[in-house]
Amino acid sequence: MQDLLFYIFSTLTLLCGLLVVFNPFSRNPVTSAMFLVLTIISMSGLFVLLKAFFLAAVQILVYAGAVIVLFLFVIMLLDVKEEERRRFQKFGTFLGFASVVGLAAIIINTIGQSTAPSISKTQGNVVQVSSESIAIENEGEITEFEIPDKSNILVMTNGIQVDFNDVQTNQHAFVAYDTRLESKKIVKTIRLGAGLGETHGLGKLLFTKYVLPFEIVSLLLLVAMVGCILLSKRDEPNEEEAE
Amino acid sequence: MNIGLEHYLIVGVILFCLGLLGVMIRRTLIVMFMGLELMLNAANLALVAFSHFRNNLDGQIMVFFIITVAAAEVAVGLALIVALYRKRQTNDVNDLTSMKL
Repeated sequence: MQDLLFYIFSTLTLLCGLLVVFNPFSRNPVTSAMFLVLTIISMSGLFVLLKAFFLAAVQILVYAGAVIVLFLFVIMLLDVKEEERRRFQKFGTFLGFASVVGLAAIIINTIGQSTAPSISKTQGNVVQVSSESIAIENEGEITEFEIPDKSNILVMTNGIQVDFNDVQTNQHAFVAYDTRLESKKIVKTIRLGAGLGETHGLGKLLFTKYVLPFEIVSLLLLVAMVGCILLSKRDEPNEEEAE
Repeated sequence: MNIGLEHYLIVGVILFCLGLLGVMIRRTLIVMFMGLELMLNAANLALVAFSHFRNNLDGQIMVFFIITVAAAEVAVGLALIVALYRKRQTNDVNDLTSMKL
């Protein structure tokens, strides 16, 4: 079900993103802005699939609510007409397409080649457990994983085998087996980072570890506000100079 | 098939490239700006995906800041476009050549 939703939302995102920049039926900026709204909304669906519920809500509120309204306001204020089809654009368009496709190919190729350790696909013996990380040995290769939730890991000791493959539905849990027993008996199911993605943890982090950037961002918003007022003010002849 | 980090990253990359394409081939300033928004959103998607698959909330905090900064950027940029339109009566980058040598 989640896989299906991922494919639906990502297809919608990419399709609407394409229609924002390259719409064969209309070159009207209003159409682009409307497709940008659809892109943002389907992307917030992807955020929900990634369990970032707060960010999904913020995405819709800030982007679809505020930013797009601002765009539409400016489009109507400027009375933008449809883009004229100018000559001598063919070469530039072709070059743009070629370079962008090349860039995409390079990055996707890099992603395909990378073999980052994925905690949901690892299997092996626990060799070392500390309060913050767990090292797992598999065919002579030792991989270390960080463990955000420290309270659950105390039960793990050397000789207990963990099998991450058993957990299909939840990416943040794995099952530990005791190999000294004859049958595979589940010792403990360990959840990594329980409560991840909840707004509680996000707020806690925002006001403890990231409190200085938070304040700086508030200053940035003030600067942006003053800048907007200054920029959009009409140039009036200075009265004192006129006298 | 299980959806992994790679799937989300590839969606992000394609979306980023679409935004870049918009900045490169469209000539209206406002639509170029929308392309910029698409690129920022693609970066957001990659960060949230990393945050989810690495069990680390720092990525989501970064996305939070990016959304804030993008909102400020849009406000200032659109104000610039309005000021430019008032001076030049144009919205097309091909007409903005006063800094050309």
